[in-house]
Amino acid sequence: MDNTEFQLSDEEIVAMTLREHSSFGFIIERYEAKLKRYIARLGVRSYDDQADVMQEIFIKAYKNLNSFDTSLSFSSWIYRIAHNEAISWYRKQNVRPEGHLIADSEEVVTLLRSKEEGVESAFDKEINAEELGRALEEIDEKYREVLILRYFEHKEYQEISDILKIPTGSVGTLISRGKKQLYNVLNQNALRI
Amino acid sequence: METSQPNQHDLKSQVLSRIEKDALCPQSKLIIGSKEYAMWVLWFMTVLLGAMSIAVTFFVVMHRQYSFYEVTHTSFFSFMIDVLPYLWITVFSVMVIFAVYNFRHTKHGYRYPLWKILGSSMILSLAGGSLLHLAGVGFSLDRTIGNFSKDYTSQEKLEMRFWQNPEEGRLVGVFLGAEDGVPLPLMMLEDIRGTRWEMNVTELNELDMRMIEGGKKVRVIGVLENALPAQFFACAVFPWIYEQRYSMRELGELKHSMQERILRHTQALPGVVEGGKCSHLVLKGPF
Repeated sequence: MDNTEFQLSDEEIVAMTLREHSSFGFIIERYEAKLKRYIARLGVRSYDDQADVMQEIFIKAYKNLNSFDTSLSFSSWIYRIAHNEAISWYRKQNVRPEGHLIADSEEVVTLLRSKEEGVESAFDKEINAEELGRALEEIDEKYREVLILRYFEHKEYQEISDILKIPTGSVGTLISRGKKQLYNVLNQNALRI
Repeated sequence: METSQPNQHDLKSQVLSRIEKDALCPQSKLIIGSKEYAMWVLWFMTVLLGAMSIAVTFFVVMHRQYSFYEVTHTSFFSFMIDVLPYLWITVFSVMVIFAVYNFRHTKHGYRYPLWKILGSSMILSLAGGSLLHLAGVGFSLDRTIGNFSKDYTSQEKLEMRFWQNPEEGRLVGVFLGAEDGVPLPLMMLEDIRGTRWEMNVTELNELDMRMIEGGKKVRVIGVLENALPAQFFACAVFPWIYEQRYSMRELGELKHSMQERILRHTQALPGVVEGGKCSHLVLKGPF
């Protein structure tokens, strides 16, 4: 493999794949790590489950390649597939999603402390990544999804809107409400301690 | 948790070999495009059906406005509460919900907030409904459904029910002209139930007579003289508005002249035969 594929845009690789299926390998290489991390954050934790879900994500992406809308970013499109697969996986398993957020939560703590979405609440105590991970697992699924995409995947509002198929305005609302719920859970947990 | 290089190759080779083994291909653009197209068609159909229900609602509401609610109800508002076409309003509401659902399921439908989709679907249906109403679709639809379904009470059926009531001085039917051997002022009228009435037309004016001679279905107010043999004294004749198209302005004028005429007969105002049978007409029932 030469370096050409690194210079190609996702859209160009998609066009190549539609002519020659082996080019799809470039897409897999480009997105495997990101999507694996994402589905783990959504609750697909075991290695075997991740392998199954990842394979389904890419097969589904390949089968639906013609439905990729070039007015969206490819990243948003494949994240949407990954999101749907992860959700349908844990619905099939009939389990509550348990995030795997602890490893990189320190950065997120800083982000959540920001007043970006106008949340006035503030922590009156120091929290650590582990507490945050637990709190995230306790909040509503709809809030967890947007918070993960915003603070862990660093997605823009428009991208989150495209991934979750909700209006951009609702993204802001969900993030704001999600943060409030997260603060409440964190404060309650702190009181319990 | 970062993925190592061998895993990446594993997944890649697994996916690519599954594509080859199962001979998977990307779904054709035609199928994908037709799904999107189907959603838009469904959306359009729901908006159109919503518009049609609005057209009938407008027709019913506006048409009823020309009946004599002043006599039967305390206010126009209480009259409207009684006569609003709830069936069509329900159809419209259901269609709006479906329209929102279909729009939301188009490619970019999710990008728009609910209130915008809901608002635009309602506005489109209302605007389309107004146009259809102006084009007479509301009238035709109401009449056609009424003709096809026994359970549906169209405006025409409702008016027929009201006007076919000789005991209360109302009849609807077609004048057949003078019967052989029966001298004027007696004429025959066949009502909508097929009963032939011997009509005394002595007190009808010139306009009434011209309407009778037109051979179209008419409404008659008067006095029941005899049930068997069927004899009726005609006081005034009004056109049956369902046999030809009237504009809302014409309907308004008809209502006005009808009110005026009835007032003349009930209060013995100038223009009626003095001391005649129709000069102190007492109207019965919800007029």
